[in-house]
Amino acid sequence: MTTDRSLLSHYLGIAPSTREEGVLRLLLETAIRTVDAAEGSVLAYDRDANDLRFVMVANGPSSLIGQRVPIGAGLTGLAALTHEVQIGAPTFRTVDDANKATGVEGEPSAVIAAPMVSGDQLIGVLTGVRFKVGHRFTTDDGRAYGNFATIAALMLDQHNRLREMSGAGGGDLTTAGYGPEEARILAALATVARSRPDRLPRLAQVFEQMVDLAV
Amino acid sequence: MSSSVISEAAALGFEQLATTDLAPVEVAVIDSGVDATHPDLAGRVVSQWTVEGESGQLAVQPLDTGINNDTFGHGTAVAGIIARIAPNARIHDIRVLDARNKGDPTASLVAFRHVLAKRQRLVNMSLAIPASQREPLYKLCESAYQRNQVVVAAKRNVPVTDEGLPAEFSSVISIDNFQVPELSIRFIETGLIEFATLGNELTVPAPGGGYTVKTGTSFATPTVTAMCCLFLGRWPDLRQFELKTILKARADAAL
Repeated sequence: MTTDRSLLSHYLGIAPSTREEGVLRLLLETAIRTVDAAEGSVLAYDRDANDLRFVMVANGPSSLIGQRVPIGAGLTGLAALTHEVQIGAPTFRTVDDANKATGVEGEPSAVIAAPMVSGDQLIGVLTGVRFKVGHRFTTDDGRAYGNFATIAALMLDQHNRLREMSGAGGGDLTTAGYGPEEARILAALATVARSRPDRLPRLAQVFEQMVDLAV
Repeated sequence: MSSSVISEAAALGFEQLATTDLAPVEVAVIDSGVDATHPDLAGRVVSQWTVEGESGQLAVQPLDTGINNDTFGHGTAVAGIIARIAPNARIHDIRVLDARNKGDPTASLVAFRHVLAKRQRLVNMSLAIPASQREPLYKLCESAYQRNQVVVAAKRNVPVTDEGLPAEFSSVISIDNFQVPELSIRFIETGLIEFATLGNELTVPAPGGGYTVKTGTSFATPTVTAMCCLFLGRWPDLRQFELKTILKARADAAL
């Protein structure tokens, strides 16, 4: 199992080494076993870029982590846009080849992409892949994977709602990496520096007293 | 429509029906677009459109006809199933699944209004629209019913909060996926979804000229759209409830 904790934190709101990270990993591993997939992954929806990013991979190459998947193509993108489980196979040249499910060694023979959705909001996509030639996913596999994706979405949504209620949400970081509270303090200091530079020594004293208190 | 027509329609084999003299039927496919260059769809797609624009400003834009308008393969598979079963289907491709409109849920409503305005007789909706659009979608489906435009809609593969919209509405023909012989239909005794047909491991055309295998309610739905297209080609005056009656009679006969 490979994950990138900063990506998990940034896109899914999961702090490193938390129960939520463990539950998501468990859901992915169980989903893979349930449908007998060779590999599985969690892709998070990047709202700003309008694409998906690999944030967790099970049994697959770690090089996938961080890679972007466009939302305008492929089964994963389709699952993201339709909010529906998609089950697919490779494209073959002829009907006969498709019916015989002849495949290419090392290339996926079947793919499931199940959206993680809360209400109308896309959170990400859970994928599963098979490589055995001729092996396809069934409707039941799709339903099972879809159920795991739904539970994962519910867990992430509840976690983030609780986090926001407890005031620990923190909100989005500024481009310089400051949280909203820090950004407000810095903006206030900038205003003082501009309009009342004579008060800056007094502010410096206040900060020194705060440091004394903290220490 | 006389009961003898209903009986005849319920008994006639689809392959036999497909070889009779059929009137052309306009079929709108609201989906991810269609690859009209695919050999299986050559000459079958008579118009192509896309829904694009800024959020809240989406509009249906015409495209050149005979192009590959599908990056996903979903709509091409759907259109391919309709074209294979119903030789009288004149397919109108309206693309709503697009990264450029970020899958805006109102895109399908814009497409639906376009289809209503164009009076296309059959509408295939192998998509489920988010519940936030339930009210406007309900009104559009009622309008379609009143105009004798027939909407065939897919159930969600994994229903959580709803079975799929517009599939839940009684003004449409709703379809689930079930392991039955090809071109057979099953009536679902309880719940909001009425019929089920084969949507498992269907070999379908893929964008670019090849073929792939698809599974899901999305691909059961166009089979029923094609069945309705054959019925309407033979008996153009059939109304939506009569089509449901014929489908139910076929399901009962298969038991």
